[in-house]
Amino acid sequence: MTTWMVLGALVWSAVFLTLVARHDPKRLRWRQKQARTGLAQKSSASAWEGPRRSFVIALTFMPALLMVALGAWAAMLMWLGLVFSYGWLLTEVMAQK
Amino acid sequence: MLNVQQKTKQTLLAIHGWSAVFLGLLLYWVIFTGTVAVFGDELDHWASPLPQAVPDSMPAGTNAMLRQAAADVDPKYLDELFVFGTAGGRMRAFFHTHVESEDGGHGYEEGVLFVFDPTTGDVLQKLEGTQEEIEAQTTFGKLGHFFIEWHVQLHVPQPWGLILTGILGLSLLVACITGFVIHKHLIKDAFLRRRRGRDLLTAKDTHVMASTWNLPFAFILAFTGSFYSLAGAFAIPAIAMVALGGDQELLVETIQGLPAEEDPRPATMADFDAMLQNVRDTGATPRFMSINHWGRQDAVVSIFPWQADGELLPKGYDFNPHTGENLGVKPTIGQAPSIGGDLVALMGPLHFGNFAGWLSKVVWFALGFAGAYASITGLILWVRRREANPRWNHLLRATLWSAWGLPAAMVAASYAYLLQQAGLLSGAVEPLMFQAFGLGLLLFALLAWLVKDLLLVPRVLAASLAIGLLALPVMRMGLGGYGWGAAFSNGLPAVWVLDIAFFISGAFLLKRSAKPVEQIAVDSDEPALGKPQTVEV
Repeated sequence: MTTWMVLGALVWSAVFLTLVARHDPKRLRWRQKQARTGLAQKSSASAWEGPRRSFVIALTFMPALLMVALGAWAAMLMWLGLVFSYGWLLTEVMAQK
Repeated sequence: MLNVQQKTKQTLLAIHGWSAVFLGLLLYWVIFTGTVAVFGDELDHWASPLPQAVPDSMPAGTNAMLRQAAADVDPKYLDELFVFGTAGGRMRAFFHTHVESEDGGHGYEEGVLFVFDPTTGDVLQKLEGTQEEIEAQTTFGKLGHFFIEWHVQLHVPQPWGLILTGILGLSLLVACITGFVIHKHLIKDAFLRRRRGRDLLTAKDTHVMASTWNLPFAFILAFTGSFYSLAGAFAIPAIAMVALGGDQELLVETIQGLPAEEDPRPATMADFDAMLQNVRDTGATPRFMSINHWGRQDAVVSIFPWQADGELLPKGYDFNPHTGENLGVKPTIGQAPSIGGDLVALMGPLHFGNFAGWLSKVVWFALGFAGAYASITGLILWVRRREANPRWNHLLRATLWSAWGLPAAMVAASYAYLLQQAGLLSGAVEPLMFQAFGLGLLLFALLAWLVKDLLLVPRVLAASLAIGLLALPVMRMGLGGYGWGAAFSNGLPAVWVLDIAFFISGAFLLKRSAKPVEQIAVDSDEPALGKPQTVEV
């Protein structure tokens, strides 16, 4: 039960975290700079700033509310650890492109 | 994120950096060995499996095994009994008593250790003597224990090893706090990973990204680790000295309550299988059982299970030793449940990550790996900023030696364990593991300092480690270990999962090392000292 809850929450968070990363203004600014010198391809994604970005970040961490409500502390810790690990991995993978 | 004055920021940056220069390599040793130690039990299962899977180290039949053993030991060793699982799911039962030291020191445990195959009930090992003598002879569980001891106290005798790792834990806390304060836009920069060849900006982002995403858990692991190291080695003696004239026993009695009055009249012990089943009925699997004063009126039985599905805090149950009645949950501290007791109990799962089987261990392994990576990349960044001064070359070589040499030395120790188990190396297993570990470190030190071109050093070290990792499963199987098919069909996941993990890690490192140097220089973060960089960071 806990395992499925953690994996379900991870998939949810991973989708929104990927969106946040894809539309991250600072990352895109750096990529455009690289594209101007021919070191990277220009990204088709637009930058999300302000409330839109905050909303998607909030959605990323939404499973925390459910887990707190259910008192599923073990699941929450694992989910949080997985989200942070995924965030790091995602940042590294996106920087390779 | 935090607005601090430039001067304060510079001071914090200096604390962050210089503490890393002095303690960073040792900190990496503690973090990396701790990361591997997360899978300490699985490594033991991998190295010394039983023919069949053992889902419970204390199954039905434990009662008969313990009674048979108790009838076979000197009655003085019935004073205290610890029962728990070890390599391959074997059951370890240590009947012992505490012997006061003649020189007024801490004393020692003396008794008889039985190792059972829980499936058949066979006694696999029976060793008698002091705990030190027994541990020198036994082999089951020694591989994981060897790595855990590096993490816990760097194999330095108590209390100095614990004090050292406690200081290292505190230095990690300092690094977390100073890193958090000096990084102005922690969340805004969370995805800003710039790669531009081998320049300083790339080196900085490598470190900052790993640290940023790992920060909350690094803080938790540092705090709980410091607690474990310093509570026993420093805090308890200090509190006892200040409050109770140095009497640590009185301190324990003050916190835990007075032990029950001695009553040596003989009494019959209740059925342990029924008590263990009672714990299983709560949804948890028994992990550890302690029995004091076996066969006496004042006997005490406690059983501590693994957390049930969804539980975070570990529990323990007291039982009436003569009727087998469950007396309820045993408080961690004191005589009644308390928030303080829960907080102390929380330290374990937060630090060890062993509260939900493989899944929580994988998560904690990933977090530990990120911490180890952050400490190495931080040191590399420090040197890269000073690369105009060739004297820092030695710190860079030492960092590379540690980064690759420590895992290689752990692989070498695993070889020694397998060879000793197979009877190809004679002698006690722990000294052999130390020798292999030392040889691994020495070999990697030679490579790190003898290879002139610094760009090639990580290549050579990574390739050497890769070969060691790839050959590990081959040697295990070559020495008579189970093949993957047999391990899979016999329900021994630790064997084939870890073998595959070693293969994948080795293949990844080998592929990475085989890249042409020119390509590496363009698209990776390999550290190399050359002309001073002009990039402002």
